[in-house]
Formats: sequence, C-alpha cells, structure tokens
Amino acid sequence: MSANARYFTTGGSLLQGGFTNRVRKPAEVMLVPMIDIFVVLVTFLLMTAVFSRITILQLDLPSANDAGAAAPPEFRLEVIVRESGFELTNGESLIAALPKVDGEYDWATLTQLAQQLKSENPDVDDASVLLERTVKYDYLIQVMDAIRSVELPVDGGSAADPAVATKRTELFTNIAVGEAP
Amino acid sequence: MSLFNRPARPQQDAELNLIPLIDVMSVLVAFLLIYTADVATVQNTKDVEIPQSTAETQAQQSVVVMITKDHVFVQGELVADVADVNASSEPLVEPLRAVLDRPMLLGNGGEAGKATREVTVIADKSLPFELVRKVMATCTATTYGKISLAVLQK
Repeated sequence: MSANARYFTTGGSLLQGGFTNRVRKPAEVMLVPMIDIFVVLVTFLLMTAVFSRITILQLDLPSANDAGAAAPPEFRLEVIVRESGFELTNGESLIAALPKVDGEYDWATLTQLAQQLKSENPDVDDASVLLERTVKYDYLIQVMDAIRSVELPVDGGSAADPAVATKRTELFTNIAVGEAP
Repeated sequence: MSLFNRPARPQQDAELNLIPLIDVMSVLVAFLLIYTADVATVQNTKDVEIPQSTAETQAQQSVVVMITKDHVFVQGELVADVADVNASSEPLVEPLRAVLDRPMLLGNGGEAGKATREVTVIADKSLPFELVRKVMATCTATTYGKISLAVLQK
C-alpha cells in the first residue's frame, strides 16, 4: 500500500516541487466501522419489525348523548350466536335459524342472508350481534365480518374463483354487540 | 492444465466496492425505521392472539385495554387476573373501573374530551365472550364513549 502511495506522489506533477517528500496517503473514509453499525441496525430493525398490520373494528354503542334522539328504525337485523348455531331476527320475530353444519358455523349462508336482507332494506345500516356467554370472542369478529361487507364478483363470475376480480360491498356497517337473551 | 500453467497475473489490490453496499443499507435502515414507527401505536401484543378480520380502519391513539389469556392490562399496567374476573359474579370489573376512572390516563382530553374518549380492546381470540363483554361494559360505565376492537388485517 505504501509503495503504491509513493508511486502516486512521485509520478505526478509533484515531482517538480521537491518540497513534498513525505508520503501522501490517498484520502479515505473509514467505511468498515460504518458498515458494521449498519449491519447491526438492519438486523435489529428487521427482528423488531412487525409484519402484520393491526386495524380496528369500531363498535356502534348507544351513548348517553343521542339516546332517544333518533326514532327507532323499522328494521334492525339481529344475529344471535348460540353454541348450536345462528339465529337471525328483526328484533321481534325470527327470520331464519342456521344450525351448525358439521360442527362449524354456517358462514356462507349467513352472508347470503345478510346480503338478501340488505337488498330488501337498502337504507338500514344498523345491526346487532348478540352472543351467548360461552361463545368465543373470535366468533364475534367473524360474524361482524360476515354481515359487515361481502366480496362480490365484478362481472357475474363465480365468487369461488379467485381469478375473478371482486368488489367489496358494504352491508350492515354499524354493529352493536350484546348478550343473547 | 492450461489453467494452472498461466503466468501469474500482476498482483492487484483486492478491494470491495463498498459504496453501493452502504447505499443499499442506508435505504434499508431508513425504510425499517419508518415502518416500525408506523406500527408503534398498539404496543406489545406478544401473549395475545388477535382475531383476523377484513377491517381496514387504522388504529388510532387511544387507551389500550389488553386481555391476554391470564391477565388484563391497561396501557401496559397489570390490572386484574382473568381467573378473578371470571369468578366474580358482578357485572363490572371493579379494579379495571378504578384504573379507567383516573382523570389523566391518556394525558390529554380532561373533562372536555371525556364523552368522546376512546378505548381500544385487544383481546385474545379464544376468550369467552362473557369476559370481553364485562370489560366492554366497564369501559362504557366509565365515560369511554367509543370502543374499538383491535384485529389483524387479513
């Protein structure tokens, strides 16, 4: 290295000016420590990075301010989640009962019914989900998903085909939560 | 073998091209720094398995009530045990109520913002609804007007 450096200094025009006899090193930034720090930073940040996005579902709660202000709508979808299956009511009378199929809740039929009820009452956005005490919290979220929105194919394709472009359609977006009677 | 009989090449200084490497790394560091700052609103969710949902609303800054399989936390502070809450027959969770009633829990708002104070509930998906309902009832009983449920985006 030093031999190289000497070559540079003596090979150029500096040869004439005899006053620079000392060896001039080429200016160099200390890159290696910098890279070390970067490597440590990158690994640390990669390890702590959360690659899942947390979003929220907002609940529609009857607050003290607007209680009684709005007239009760003529239709309000209520989904009762029991250990044995779903029950859909309009607040007074039973619309449909969807028992579990093979030990699993019948999600497809629930969404289908919600879709049908939405087309019958296009202005209604409110719904209630009422759960039995022992039902898992996970099912609350899944029921809310099922009646909140639905993925519809854009131009008449089959919904099961993943290649078909889908469009999300809102159904009942204001969802209240309560305990099953 | 011609490969070995070649005359030795003049020795050159073997040197890595370090500048592009540093360029790439600084871009990586900047990206990761920005990305982690974005997610920091909802803190450590290690012991909680959050349910998945299609919801797209972004999480906002609010009081966080976290229910793990064993404990209830408010803003990272241990408040109650799940076993105790399940055992009690009262409709509200008293220790949680005491903590939520603190006037300056979030540091802003005060009396004016009370009615619109928000709480985000992060709950494990295997918990029974009874427990979550008790916690939510306690939140509404202590002037928290808005409740959000934290979910993972699918």
